[in-house]
Amino acid sequence: MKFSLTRLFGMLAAAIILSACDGNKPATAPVAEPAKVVPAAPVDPVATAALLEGKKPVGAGIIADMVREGDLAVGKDFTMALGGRFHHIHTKLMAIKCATCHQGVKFPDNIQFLRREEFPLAAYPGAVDRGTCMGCHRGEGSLATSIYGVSPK
Amino acid sequence: MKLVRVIDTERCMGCRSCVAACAVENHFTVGAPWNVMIESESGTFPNVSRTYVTMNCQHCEKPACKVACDHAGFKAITKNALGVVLIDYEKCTGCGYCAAVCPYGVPQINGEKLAPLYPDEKPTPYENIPINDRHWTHRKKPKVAEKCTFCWHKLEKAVEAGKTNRIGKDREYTPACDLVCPVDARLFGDIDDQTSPVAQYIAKKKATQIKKSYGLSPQVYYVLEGGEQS
Amino acid sequence: MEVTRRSFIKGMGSLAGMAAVCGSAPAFARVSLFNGGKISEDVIKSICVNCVNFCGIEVRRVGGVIRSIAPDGARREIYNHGICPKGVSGGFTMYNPYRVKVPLKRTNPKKGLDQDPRWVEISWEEAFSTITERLAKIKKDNPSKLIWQHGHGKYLIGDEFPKAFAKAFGTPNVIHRTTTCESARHVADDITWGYHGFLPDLENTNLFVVFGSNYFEAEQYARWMDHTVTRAKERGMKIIVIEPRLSAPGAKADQWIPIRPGKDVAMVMAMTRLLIDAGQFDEPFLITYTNAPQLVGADGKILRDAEGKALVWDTTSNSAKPFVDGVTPALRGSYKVDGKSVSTGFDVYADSLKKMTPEAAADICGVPAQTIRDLAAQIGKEARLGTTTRIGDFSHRYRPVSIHTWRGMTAKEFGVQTWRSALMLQMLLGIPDAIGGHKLGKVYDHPDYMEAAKCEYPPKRVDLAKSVYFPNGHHDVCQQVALTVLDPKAYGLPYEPEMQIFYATNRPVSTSDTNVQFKSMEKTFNVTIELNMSETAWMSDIVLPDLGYLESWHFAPTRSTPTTKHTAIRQPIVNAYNIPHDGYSIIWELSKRLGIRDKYIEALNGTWKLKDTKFATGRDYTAREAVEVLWADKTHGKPFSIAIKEGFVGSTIPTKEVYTKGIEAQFKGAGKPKMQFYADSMVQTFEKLKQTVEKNGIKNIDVAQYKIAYSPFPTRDHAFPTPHREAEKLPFYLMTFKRMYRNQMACSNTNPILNFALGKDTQENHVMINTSAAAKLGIKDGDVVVVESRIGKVSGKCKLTEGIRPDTVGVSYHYGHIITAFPAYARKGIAINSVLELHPDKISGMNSFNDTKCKVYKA
Repeated sequence: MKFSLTRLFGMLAAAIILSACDGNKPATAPVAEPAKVVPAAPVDPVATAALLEGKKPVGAGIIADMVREGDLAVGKDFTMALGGRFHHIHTKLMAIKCATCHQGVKFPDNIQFLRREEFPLAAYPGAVDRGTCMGCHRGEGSLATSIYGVSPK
Repeated sequence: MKLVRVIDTERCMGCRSCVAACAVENHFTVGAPWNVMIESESGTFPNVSRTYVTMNCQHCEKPACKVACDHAGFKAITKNALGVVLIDYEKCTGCGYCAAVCPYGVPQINGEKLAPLYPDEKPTPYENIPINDRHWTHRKKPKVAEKCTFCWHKLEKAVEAGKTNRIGKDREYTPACDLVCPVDARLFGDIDDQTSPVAQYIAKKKATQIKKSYGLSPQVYYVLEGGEQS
Repeated sequence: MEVTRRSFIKGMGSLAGMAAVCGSAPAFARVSLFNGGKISEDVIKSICVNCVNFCGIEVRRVGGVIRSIAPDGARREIYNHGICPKGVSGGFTMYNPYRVKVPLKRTNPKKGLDQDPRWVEISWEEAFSTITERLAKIKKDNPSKLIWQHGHGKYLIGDEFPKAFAKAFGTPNVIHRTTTCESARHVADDITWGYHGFLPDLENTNLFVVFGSNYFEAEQYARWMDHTVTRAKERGMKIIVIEPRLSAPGAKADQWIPIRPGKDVAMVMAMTRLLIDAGQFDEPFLITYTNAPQLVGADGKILRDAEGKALVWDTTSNSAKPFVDGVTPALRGSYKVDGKSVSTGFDVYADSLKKMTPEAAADICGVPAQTIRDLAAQIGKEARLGTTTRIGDFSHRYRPVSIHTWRGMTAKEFGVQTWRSALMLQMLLGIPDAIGGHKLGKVYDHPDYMEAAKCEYPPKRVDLAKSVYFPNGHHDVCQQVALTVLDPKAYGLPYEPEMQIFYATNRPVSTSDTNVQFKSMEKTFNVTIELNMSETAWMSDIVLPDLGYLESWHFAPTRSTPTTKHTAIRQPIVNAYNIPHDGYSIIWELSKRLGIRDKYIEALNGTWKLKDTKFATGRDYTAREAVEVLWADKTHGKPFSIAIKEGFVGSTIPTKEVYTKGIEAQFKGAGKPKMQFYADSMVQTFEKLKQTVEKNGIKNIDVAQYKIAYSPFPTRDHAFPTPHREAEKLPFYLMTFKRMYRNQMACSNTNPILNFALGKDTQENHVMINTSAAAKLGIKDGDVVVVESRIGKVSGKCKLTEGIRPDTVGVSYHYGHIITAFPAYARKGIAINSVLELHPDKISGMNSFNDTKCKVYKA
């Protein structure tokens, strides 16, 4: 891996962001304001994307690239549990706060979500509207791994 | 050939027979239904309405679950030649990524143990059907993901018999949930066959897919009555 | 169909396991690949008996195990398109580990729901000899002391078998569950047109007005009505559902009118008045087919000539005459006959409606006056008075409005009168047996139903059916048995019942004021034949296991539609616990041991009305052999192999026959009997009742109340059942309803599919309460609340909904088992029946379910 200034800056930024959000420990240095993604409920995935477009944290795309290329140690603990890779990437690297994704205790009664009845769950932050995910994970050239597509015409 | 299902929520009266049929056909794992009923009410007395919508796997053309599973490196999810999205329990590690990305909330992740149908009782003869006498989609395991298979164990027989043109028409080649509806609210078949009942129904009744904004092109269509939240 | 599979030895152990659970290898032994063979797989046609729709099913059996159940596609044209979740999961009723598997004897002499019976297992021999000994004694003493009660048992083997046994034994006491079902509806029909049962002509109806019928979840014809209503709706039929709670039919209807419980009769009377005032009624129909023109005197009775023939006012001769050829009856008017003032029955009813304005009705029933006006106008318009239409080359009266109910109008104290009001509205518009209208059953099959009732005293039957207490109890009075048993002398019963046999019925649980029902069971020696340890079994001295509906032979009941009928059998598919007897063979064995077998056989030929092929005396019949006899007779000799292979034979009824065998054949025109628009027979019955009460000094009959009940037409009084009149400080109306996921609750409560696979809300029921009503009481969704009536209280979780009237709460049946025979998950929910007041319909004996008033508060 060729050493480069851009990369160093990115790593520095990452390290700063990491330390700032790690377990609510007080920040030891001034940090770039992490992206505040607080969409109105119900979530409009298109609007969310627009918000993110304007207010991405500096380096979020770089961080995402680095994760995909294996340059950032996120581990191989593929699990949805808090200590695992998924939450490491999203809550630590991407600095997304719990409430951003886990917006409600339970889903609305009429939502078309097969596991709707599982909520509310004890010891679980709450239901996640997948619309939030679309902000980064949608379409070709998306910030994060492209999982969703654009609605067909 | 593109296999699709259409569910007419204008006809559906919420009996949950399709939910029961899926459970019985597919060796129901307690806590992990493959088909659910979403019943909701809206309005204020006396101007009230109630909506009934069932959901199984949408068998998307571009399944998000497969993307996530491939990305994680397990490659347990496949979409086969007939368009059916399937989870291989042997390859699945129960990581939950598929459940996290699916906008329809379809994949179920099993717990530590699979419970017998009658809690605290011995398994019934139905449950005692030997594992290796079952289709592989019915060899349930703890700690893995499972979901609707479009009754692949039945469709596969159509492939073996060279009768894929009879899928959705012959009862032995039709998913269980589509066979029991008392009000004929469900059809299954090939949308690419312009003469098929399902293709004509979708067009005539202006059926649509739900959560289209995710761009996954689901292969389950709905005639929507209103009152549902997508 | 055999399937070859690759397999591994691994599965071997479970074969033994399966054998262990089943007790021995299943009848059609599974040969799996590790024996070098193939796994057997077959599809067997049969009938589902979870409810009373009797859907055609095909059962897939793999290796001797019930693998899945689906509708029999061959029966789509004649009855059901689909099946319900109970039918789909019916295999688990057979595999249920909580089933009664061997005969049990009670060793704790104390009976009670809180008592442990301390069962010991006994042999079938001991069971039979104990029961026979008792029966022999009773037979010698007074056979009436034996009571046979059944409910679902009628549909498992047919009531013809118990009825024949009772005849051979000598007891009149065979009691079915009809008064906990829809008896009042039947009796209203019986009195009006001489038999009962009807269906809306949905293929041709344009306006379907439903006063409480859950034809998606619970109705007797649900599996035909569901798809037929759905298709008709897509054709353009409008559906108006009138009920206090938004049910599934309400949710799919064009309009939901939330009416106050028990007040339907007021709304129907108001609409009738509006139509009469607007001149919108079918005068030719009323004159031709009904007794509306017949002249009524001041005493409320119809005028008759010396030969007893009813008189009309002949406008040709201007005199009172019987309606024979040459007479032109007047429908309306007051006349003088022999110096006395008389009016037509039509006018007497019309005059009685003067005060029932839409506003007055709105006040009573909680439906806005404008809504009542609009609906009346809609009915009047859609009825297409005076028109005919053609189906093929058959031309007939066309009235495409159908008014329907199941228990909504009838499961109450004034059930007969309430349904009568709707029958009269339909007669007003010429709807009975019209195309698109109200298709009647076997019209005038029982002319005696339209005459004065016997008012028998002292009563012969323990249920007091057809006695002075329930003069028109044509279909048994099942909840009365317990009350009579508690105090036979109070009812003049000339004997003290000693023994009860309960076959596939959870009688006390299914009635109202249930604590009394249970108390009564303590008095008799009880034998229960049942699949599961129900509450009734719990209160018994001996419990005998039964075979489930997928384990036994039966000549099955079937449901006809207006245009189709069919004959079917049930055949055994598994015998999960190797039980050697079912209700059929138990009766057979008892008849043999009592030495009345041949008498029983002769009685069978009578109860089954066999003509071509009969049972022969001097021999035994296995269940299969009995079914073969019945199939041969009822299909006029079709091969039994068809029954085995196809499960049924069916046919379409020719169009002309559909519409002309009913009132057209029986009631049309001069010289024929007439439908009772004005129920003169009820006036006569009341007269007889009064005489009987006076003659016998009967103290426990409130004659004034019977006069109100026995009115020849519905009145305002019929909108005020006893609890509505008497209860104070109980602001809520309490209504009950059925749910799709439970039926025969002792069978379905442990079913794992119905409990765990359909959603969390199927495991229990709730107190359904309107959101704003709950807010006023400080009650939140999910709170535990108490429902208290005048006779008791129950508690359970509430569910807030906008789909119920603010002055009404609703609790379903089917939940709240108390006895510990069932695991905890099967005992969830509220058993509402114990707080329902019992004020039976005096005419039919119908158990009242939806008249109670209550208060609700946080627990």
